[in-house]
Amino acid sequence: MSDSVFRSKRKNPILRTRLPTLPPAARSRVALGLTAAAALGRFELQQCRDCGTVQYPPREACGKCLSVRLPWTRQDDDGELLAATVLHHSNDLFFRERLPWRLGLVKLACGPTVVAHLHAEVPPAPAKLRVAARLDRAGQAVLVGLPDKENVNMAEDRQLREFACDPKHRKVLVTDGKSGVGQALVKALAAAGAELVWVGYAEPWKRFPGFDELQKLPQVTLVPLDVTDSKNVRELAAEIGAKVDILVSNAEFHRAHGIGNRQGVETARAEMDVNYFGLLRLAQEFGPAMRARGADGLASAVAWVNLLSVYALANFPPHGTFSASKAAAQSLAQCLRAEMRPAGVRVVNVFPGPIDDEWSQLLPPPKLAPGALAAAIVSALREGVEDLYPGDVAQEWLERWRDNPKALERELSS
Amino acid sequence: MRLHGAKREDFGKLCVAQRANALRYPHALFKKPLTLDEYLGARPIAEPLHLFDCVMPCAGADAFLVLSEEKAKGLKLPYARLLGTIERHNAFSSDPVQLRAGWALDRDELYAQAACPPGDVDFVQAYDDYPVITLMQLEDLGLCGKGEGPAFVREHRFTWDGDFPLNTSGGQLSAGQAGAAGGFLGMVEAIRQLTGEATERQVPSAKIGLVSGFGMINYDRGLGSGAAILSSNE
Repeated sequence: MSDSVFRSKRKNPILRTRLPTLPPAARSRVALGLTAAAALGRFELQQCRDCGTVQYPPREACGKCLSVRLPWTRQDDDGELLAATVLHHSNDLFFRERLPWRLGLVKLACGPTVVAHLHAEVPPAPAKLRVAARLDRAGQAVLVGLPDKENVNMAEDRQLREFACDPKHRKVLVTDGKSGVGQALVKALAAAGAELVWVGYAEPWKRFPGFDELQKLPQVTLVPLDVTDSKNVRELAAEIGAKVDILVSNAEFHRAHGIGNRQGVETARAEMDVNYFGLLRLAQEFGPAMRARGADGLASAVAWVNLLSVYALANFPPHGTFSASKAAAQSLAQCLRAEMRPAGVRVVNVFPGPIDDEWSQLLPPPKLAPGALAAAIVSALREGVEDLYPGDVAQEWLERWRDNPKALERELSS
Repeated sequence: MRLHGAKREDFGKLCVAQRANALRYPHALFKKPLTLDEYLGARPIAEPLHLFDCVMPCAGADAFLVLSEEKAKGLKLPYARLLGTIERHNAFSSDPVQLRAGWALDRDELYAQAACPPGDVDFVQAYDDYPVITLMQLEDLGLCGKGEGPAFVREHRFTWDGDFPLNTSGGQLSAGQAGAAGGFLGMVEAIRQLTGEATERQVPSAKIGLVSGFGMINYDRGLGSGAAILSSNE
């Protein structure tokens, strides 16, 4: 049923590129709870604290007992397909361009009956299935019915691809191939079926460890790229910018210490120059072309990944200036997200805890292995996650920060 | 369709009959006859719904006066009598699919108010955004048993001169769905039928009519349902 063999054909440059349209994006403030959970890859629904009823669609009060205590709570994803339809007509521009479109009515095991977009491999009703909350091209959560059992080519479903940023068949730029994380990312993206991976490396007169191994991958093209050099970024964007479907901004400058252990601002400035201004330069040069290609066929421009740090949430004083540069980058990434959203291009922010590299040498384990981080990023792209907190440390800090940001600030400074 | 064995031909029969009625109603938007083959051959919209299963939204208005019988007589206005009404919201809200609605709970009260069993009704004006909704009303209003709608359709003729006149102005499917005014299309047509003003589509000796409505803004599952029984003033 899935289009398991489609490959992007070479584009006819004479034909007009289809402009991006978005599915309906209006949501009430309450309904954004579904989006907030889906951004983290979670399936949460309102559940009444007083009577326990799970409800959908989201509302201000419990439909059963009128309580207003309705925390968003993780739910089991299994359900039963009651009825399905295939839409052959829509007045909505986004869906009109993507017909036919399959939808169904699903009775969730946790209670409510919901309307969900349906994967082609969900059998006709009645049938068991799983339901996930996914972000659509407008960045808003919608419910998607998935086959009961995973399948290798599941992600190639034409409809599911509209909710994901799957690297398969896509062209990717990884801005730094010199770091361990960069090399793991290139390998993971190539293994995930990326058609082409451009790998940036600064100081091209120096061979770096792993250079030969990367060059052996058939998908890889190494390109000189120094994100602190505006001219270099502009020239690379002029050369490949109109072809990049996924940009992974992973170049980072990381030194330990906070304020008092160091004199002068040179190190902090270098951190800002790569971690903050580097992102700004990339966004200015690559952003516009990606925005124009948000609906460019089945392998359109689809995602922008920022390697941030969980230290962006709350300053980690032993790595204080690095934390500040990542907080600045996170704020800029939110701006980029706002600017990319009208084109349907997702900005994925990645907030790892300490990575197992030379700059976190003195931190105790658990530390995130570059390979694990790369795998988590590829999964996030496939599942349409917008904010990724990979690994135990990041997950734990996230929960502490959500619970009480002031408490986390104090705990990190003790 | 899966549960009760309804076929597209059953829904088509209702649509074709309503179009025949509409051709005798000057305000109907659809002016061309519809055949069952054309109905069956229409393009799909959202399976199993095809083009002629869907109402066409339009602009429009309808109105009628509500006044005491004495006043109507004094003004020498043609009028119909209201014998009974029911209304309910959010019925069967725990049903996972809305296969029934509030009429099923209230119909006994309706027929009791009107002192008239379902069999005495001379015509029905049902809310018809899709023909399946019409069928649900016929079942829930007790004009046939639950799940017997398809068999009922096969046994009857629904044109103005048929043995079960239904949506005699063409209904919303053939007259057009005039936004919120669509809900009173059936009421206005029932009054016309009962006051002898239905011109070329006049149901012969129409004495008692049943009007039914469904919808409203959906605050939850289980939409609003309502129905009224009217009689002529004879």
